[in-house]
Amino acid sequence: MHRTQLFIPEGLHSKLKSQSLEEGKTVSEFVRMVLDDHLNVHTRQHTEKAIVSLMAMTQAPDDDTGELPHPGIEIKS
Amino acid sequence: MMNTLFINTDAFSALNIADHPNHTAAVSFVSELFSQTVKLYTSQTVVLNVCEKIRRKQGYPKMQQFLNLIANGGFVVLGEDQKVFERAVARLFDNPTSELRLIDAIVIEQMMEWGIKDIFSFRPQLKEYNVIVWPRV
Repeated sequence: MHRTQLFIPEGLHSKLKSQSLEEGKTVSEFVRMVLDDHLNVHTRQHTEKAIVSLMAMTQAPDDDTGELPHPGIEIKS
Repeated sequence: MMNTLFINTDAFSALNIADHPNHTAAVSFVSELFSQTVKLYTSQTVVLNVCEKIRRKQGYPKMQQFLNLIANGGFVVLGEDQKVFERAVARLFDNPTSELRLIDAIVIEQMMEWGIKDIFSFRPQLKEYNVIVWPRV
């Protein structure tokens, strides 16, 4: 277990404290749970995006137009 | 269960080149990945290598498509620094009989640097370097 110090606004701290009480958890346990859920969702979104991209690479050009799906369009930042 | 997966040159080639001998196996493995939550990594060296291969075999538009999907597709593309390159070259000279490719040596060093254990590749000989090669045969 690592110890990390977080600097958060007063309002957010009160919110975390009251919500952790409602859940019957300490603030540390509650923050861990929220962060873990958030990171899982975040990674899952990246996974899905990357897998869809991998599948797109396998697609052949259109029979009629010869165009590729996801052609070489401008690179978004 | 894996949390991170490095995609190697031959895996990208197998996916992008329809008549590649490992094309079907590569597509099947990617379909299985949907059930996992895994962060997908590759590297600039791998992308460079694959781009050239696709350009030669399938033409410039297909190469652009690949590059576009890499740039916008949710991958983490690792850069190669001088230390990684030096360690990879040293690895080749330390094992002259292994016939390890320089690009694979760079990939192994990058994986070590980033703590990535799993690799999507059709080169079973990579197992000798303490990485887990997928799809498993």
